[in-house]
Amino acid sequence: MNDEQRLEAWFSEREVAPKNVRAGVALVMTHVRKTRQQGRWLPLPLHRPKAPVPSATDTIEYPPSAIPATEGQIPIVIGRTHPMFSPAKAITAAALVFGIGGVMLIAQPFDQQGSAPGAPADAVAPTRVTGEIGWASSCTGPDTVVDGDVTHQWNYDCSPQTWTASDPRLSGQVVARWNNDAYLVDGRYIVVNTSLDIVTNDAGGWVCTSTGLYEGPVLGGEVALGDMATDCVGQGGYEGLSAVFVRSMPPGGSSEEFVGLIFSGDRPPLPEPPAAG
Amino acid sequence: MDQDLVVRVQQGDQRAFEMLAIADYPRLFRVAHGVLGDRALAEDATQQALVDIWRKMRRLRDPAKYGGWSYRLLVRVCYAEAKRQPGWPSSEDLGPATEPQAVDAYGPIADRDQLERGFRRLSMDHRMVLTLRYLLGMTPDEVAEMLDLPRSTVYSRLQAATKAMRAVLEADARNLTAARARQEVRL
Repeated sequence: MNDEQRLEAWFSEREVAPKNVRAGVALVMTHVRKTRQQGRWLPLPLHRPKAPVPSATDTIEYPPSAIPATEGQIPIVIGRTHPMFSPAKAITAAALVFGIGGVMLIAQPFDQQGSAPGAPADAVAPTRVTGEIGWASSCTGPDTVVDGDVTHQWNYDCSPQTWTASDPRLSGQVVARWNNDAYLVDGRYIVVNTSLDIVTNDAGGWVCTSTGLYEGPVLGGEVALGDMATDCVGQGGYEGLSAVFVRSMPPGGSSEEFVGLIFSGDRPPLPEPPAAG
Repeated sequence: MDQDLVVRVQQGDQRAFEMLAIADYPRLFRVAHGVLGDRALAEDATQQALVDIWRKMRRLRDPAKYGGWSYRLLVRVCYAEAKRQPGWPSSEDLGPATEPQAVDAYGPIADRDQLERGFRRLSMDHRMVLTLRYLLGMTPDEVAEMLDLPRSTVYSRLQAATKAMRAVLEADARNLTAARARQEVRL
């Protein structure tokens, strides 16, 4: 039996039926009666499937009767049979007018760019990137010093990693190193981690730093407490680029996934935090 | 699924939603149980997903896409349901629950336990693709469409999940061999 057959058989064996569908739905309905439906996003209209158009050969119970002509004249319907106004059309038209107007207001010849109030000089849309980080098969290090309930670790080296990204600029072989401060709390280690990743491919490279929190019963056996935030600065052929992404470590997996943005130029500053009070 | 029923629910018809929920409950429960592996959790996830379906139904633009859309809502609920459980097994907590068994030597029951433990070590993403692929019998392309993921992601998740489960079985088999060797030395 191969893996696929074994999995199919196993899924089939462990399958159970719900205990009581009616009771479950009754519970759902008690919530539904108290829950308002969220509105749909305007001005996008709901999609309605078109009614099938009967073909000439279809038989129908009440076939349409011909409109009788008067004195040999064919009757003509004058005027519209449907109202012209619809809220969706009005909103769409308004959006188009403002959209086109906005573009015409901002768009300028190349030699005058940047002079429009509020238009950033080098605003280029960032590129969305997703990818996977394949881990190294083994690690070396770390150097360790225990200081009471804190264990400092450094020179942890788990290289080479392989990054495979939707944008080839962030793909390549990676030297991955990190330092940890592991705090022993209630018999478990909470680890504050700072990582350095040096990515190299044929066209250039990146230097990336990340921070993250991990937890586990033993040192070296921790799992991520959440996604890690990573900042990258382009090197060599990617000089002048920057990237930012979050990476998630699925429990039990042997790789990480990431999603983020590549910017032309420095990473834009973070938005201002909301005012206190 | 009856598209008229979906349209009526979009218009706020609670009676239509009740009919839709009765028809859809087993389908959603089947997947929730496949992913979570626990009847009570699966019941909770199914019910929560149905409430979410009611709440967000007006945002579904194409009633024909209801099937996949409802699965995607269920996936999010399964994530939340698993996170809410304090005793939910993480990869590090799942030591061997019983004496390790050989992969093929001890028959189907041992195999089932090992597969269950291997499955529980997987992330929710990996469990979901395995469930859709092997419980519902979908092709990888159908899984990709259902979960709104690129095909390559589905293929890589399927491969990684199968590999991880195989690794658990092989590790158990190695442990058994070592245990037997130790026993023979003692004798």
